[in-house]
Amino acid sequence: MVLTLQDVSMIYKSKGNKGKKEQALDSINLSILQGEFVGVLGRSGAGKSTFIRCINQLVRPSHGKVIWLDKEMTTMNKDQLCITRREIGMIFQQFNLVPRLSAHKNCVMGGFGYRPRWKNMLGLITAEERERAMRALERVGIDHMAHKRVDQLSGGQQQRVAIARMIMQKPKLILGDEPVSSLDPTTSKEVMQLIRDVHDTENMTTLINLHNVELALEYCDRIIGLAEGRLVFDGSPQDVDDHALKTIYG
Amino acid sequence: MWFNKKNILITVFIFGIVIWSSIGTGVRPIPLDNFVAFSERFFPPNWDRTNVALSASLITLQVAFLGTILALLVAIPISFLAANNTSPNGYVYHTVRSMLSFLRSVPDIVLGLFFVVLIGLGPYAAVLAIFIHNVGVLGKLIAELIESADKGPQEAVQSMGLCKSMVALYGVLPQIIPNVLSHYFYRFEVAIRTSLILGFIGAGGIGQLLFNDFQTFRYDNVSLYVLFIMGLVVFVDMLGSYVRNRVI
Repeated sequence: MVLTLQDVSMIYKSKGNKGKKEQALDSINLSILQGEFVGVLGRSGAGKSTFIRCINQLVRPSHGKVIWLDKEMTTMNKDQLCITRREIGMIFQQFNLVPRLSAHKNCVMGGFGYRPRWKNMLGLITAEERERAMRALERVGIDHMAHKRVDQLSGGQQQRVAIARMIMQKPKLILGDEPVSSLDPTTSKEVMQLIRDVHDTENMTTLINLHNVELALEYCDRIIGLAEGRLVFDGSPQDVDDHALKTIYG
Repeated sequence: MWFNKKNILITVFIFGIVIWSSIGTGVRPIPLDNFVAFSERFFPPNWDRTNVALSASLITLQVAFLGTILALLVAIPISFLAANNTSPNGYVYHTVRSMLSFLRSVPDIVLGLFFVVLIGLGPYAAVLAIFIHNVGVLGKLIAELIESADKGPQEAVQSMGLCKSMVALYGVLPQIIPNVLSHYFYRFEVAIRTSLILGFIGAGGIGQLLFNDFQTFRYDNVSLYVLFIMGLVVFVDMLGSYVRNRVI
């Protein structure tokens, strides 16, 4: 077991609604094995993004434990979290690259978590880091755009840069929050294939939110389904039948 | 559509206030002969004073630049403490916000008077006045830019294992730089006008020349100084546009 979620719940307190509470996750219990490629399915608002963010503690769960490689993340202080987050790469729906910076600079930033703070403060980059970033961009087939500003790239190209940045981070776990939702079908497949290749060659573990059931069935080894914050399905892609889809999507 | 009872009443009301304000401030037509006589003394500008005007203009430029660039350097780190998404806690946020409001609330001319008394006549007093006032103004404006910055890149930087100060440096700062420059150049332009006014109280530069020659009725010199002032403002505006275009 590389990742375990024990009784994880998340309740958001709505700011403008007289303290009204909204339960995003409800007692999630889950174990993920080393090397699994897990697709997370669910309707919009089912709690998929919160679920992914609770794993690397971008969202601190209201209740429960998240245990990553025998370390309980939910009780970590800020410094411990920073160190642990380096092992967990994340890919976002809107790519979340730093606009105005080149693809190469965005990629280099992936390794910043391992460097001393003063070096990051001064923005000093070694020749070795430059070279490694170029190799990561080459790996995702975007090295010819290395010095172009990311806001001048297409959605698919930006997501490739985000994947290169994630490779630069040398993570053991990949989290994906709907990484292909804003891409066209052909590019979605290319990006999913790229994530799967990186997962396989680097022997990583992957959890990825997906809207597209077909993509999930094609690329994932295991499917979990969320509905109204609860885990309602957990099985192999072969187990996803009409009944399972009805359970997940209602 | 426009001519309904409500709009007519609003128009009459606003017009009434305009009349009331005009009476209160003594607004009346300017006698044309006065205007012509006054204009004749303005032109042609006294070009013999060009060297003097140029060196005073450069002092005004130096005052405005130094005051605002130092304010920017101080305001950037402070603004991260004054933004609710990057401030360490509510106590720091409210304290720094209040401090910025205080700095902003004192007009630069009042600060100028204070520093002229404290350190004596000359451009240095103007630099300090512009610096302190602009720390308050730029601090608030940049804090608002930080608060409205896209959360996505911040979340990405955080997820890579970087601490809060690095999130600010790499997740926020690159996003807001064009708007920071935009605010800076606007404040630089305002500072040029402010340093002119500060010249009236002895803080040097072209403002002081303008005030002295106006007092001694040398309107031909004044018109030359006005041309230099216009040139300065246009120069800063063009410089700002150039830098913004290069950065954006």
